[in-house]
Amino acid sequence: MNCSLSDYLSSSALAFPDKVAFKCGKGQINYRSLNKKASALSATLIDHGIKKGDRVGIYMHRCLETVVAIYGIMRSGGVYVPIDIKHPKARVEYLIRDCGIKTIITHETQENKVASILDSLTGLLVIGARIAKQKSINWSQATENEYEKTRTINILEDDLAYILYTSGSTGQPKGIMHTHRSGMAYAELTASTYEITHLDIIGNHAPIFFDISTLGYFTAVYMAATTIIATDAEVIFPQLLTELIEKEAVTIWYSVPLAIIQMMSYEKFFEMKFKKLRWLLYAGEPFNPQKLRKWMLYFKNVKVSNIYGPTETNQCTYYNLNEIPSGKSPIPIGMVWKNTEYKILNEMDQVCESGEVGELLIRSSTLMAGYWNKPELTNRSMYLEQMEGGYVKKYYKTGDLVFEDKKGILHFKGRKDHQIKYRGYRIEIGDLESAINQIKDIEESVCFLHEEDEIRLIALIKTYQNKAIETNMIVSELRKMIPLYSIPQEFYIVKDFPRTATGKIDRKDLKLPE
Amino acid sequence: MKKEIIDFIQETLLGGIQGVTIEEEDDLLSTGFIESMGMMQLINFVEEHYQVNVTPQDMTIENFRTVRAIEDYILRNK
Repeated sequence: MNCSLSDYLSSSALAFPDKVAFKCGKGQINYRSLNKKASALSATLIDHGIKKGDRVGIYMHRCLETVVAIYGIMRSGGVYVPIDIKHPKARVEYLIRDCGIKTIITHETQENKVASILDSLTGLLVIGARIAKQKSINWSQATENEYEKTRTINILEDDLAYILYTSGSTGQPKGIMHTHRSGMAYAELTASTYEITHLDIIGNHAPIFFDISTLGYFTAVYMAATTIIATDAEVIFPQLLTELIEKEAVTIWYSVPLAIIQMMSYEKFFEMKFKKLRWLLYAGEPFNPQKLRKWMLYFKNVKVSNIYGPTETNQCTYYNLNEIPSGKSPIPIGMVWKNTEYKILNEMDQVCESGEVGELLIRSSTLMAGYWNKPELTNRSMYLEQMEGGYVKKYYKTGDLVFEDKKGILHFKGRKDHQIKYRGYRIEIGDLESAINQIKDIEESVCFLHEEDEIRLIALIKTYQNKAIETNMIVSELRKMIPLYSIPQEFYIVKDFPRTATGKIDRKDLKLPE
Repeated sequence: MKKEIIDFIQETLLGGIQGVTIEEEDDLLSTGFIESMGMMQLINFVEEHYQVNVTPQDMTIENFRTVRAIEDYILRNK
């Protein structure tokens, strides 16, 4: 019986020891070796004092070692916490302190960066690189430790498995805690929804700090399928990504729409056959319907599914496109999948009628355990429904506005607050604007998403005395404060912003300057 | 030229991580130094600064893997 995500790996290693589990660039690893290395790493972690519930950071680029790290940590009873290697130093330091991370697993190619990031922290254990100021163990030593059966940690479904940090409305990122149960529920639901088997080859584009990666890292391991981890170079050059799908005979592709749109701009894209591809799954932001139409007209045999779900729920709804979209209207987010219930509530907390827009609430087996270190925020994000006999149903308030049409299909209508989702990343508009406003000569700024051919993040800027200011300067200042993904692509200096009668910025009326 | 490219990468693309130095032979692509948005900025910089037209066919790992490769590419296409 599988009681933890790590049990999935043991089962698949027993059933399919020689099957390739993961591939990345020129490297690959089968289930037997992956299982062995994960056990060895878990033994190393336990030897160095890791106890159940301890958080272990993973500071790695896209590589095979990420899988060993994830399963090694989980098998030791630890909780894996991915760290975005492109985040500014201050943000990484915050994450390490906030999450109480004492051990970091990294890769030798990240040595200089890790050393620089950790220079004001002490008493850490670093695995995978030599860091002068910290205690370090190299990768081969850590993953070749002889594993003894007696060390098996009894992991419960209810124990924490991983924490994903995402942008928070207070200006500091928040850690979303998931248990083995929520991870396993996700793996089992995706396997059943998309009929995934051990014959599938899953194309993984997402870095491990995105929950999109859990399809390749959890579901594939559960079904003993093969996951192709796209390398950073392949992600950078869409032509390589396109060729990867073709060459590896990928059967299920899951990424943000942007990656797919970038591939379509490759001149040879429409010479591809993608013979084995049977599912195109996307999430993270809307897919421009005209672009999707172009894709679907060419790859008629590939089923397409729009996946929706905040990181707090991983996935909760999906919409399989039975027809090629013809107009410009956005693709619906569909219906909830199994083991999931929803409510749409208006501002008076009353259930919305069909067609009425309200906030989407989700109750699901994939729901997070809460926000790390933020019990009040966790409570505020939940809606409790008292049932008979004292039973309480717990729903997560997504903050997303939706309506349900007459067929019972859900449609996304925007956010309750000023959060946006851009290329799969959550960005608090307020955080972004306040960062821009800290730059010299800038008086005020407004940011918004503009959709034409693709979705772009735009900043309108008002400077003191209409001073000219260079975009490069703004970008390099912002790089010190906020992650690259949240930096707008275009900046425009304007005299003023559209305002409402009361003088507030009219966010509904933002557009590109002439 | 190498120094200009290194400065651009360090200051504009890696501005948030202090103390990281890039050598001309460092692999920029495979280790997550730069991602697709950063690459767009780098290509814009190469085009504007050295008057080179980087065609989609030229956007390959070979041409952009290291600072030295970028310099070679610019010199070949100037």
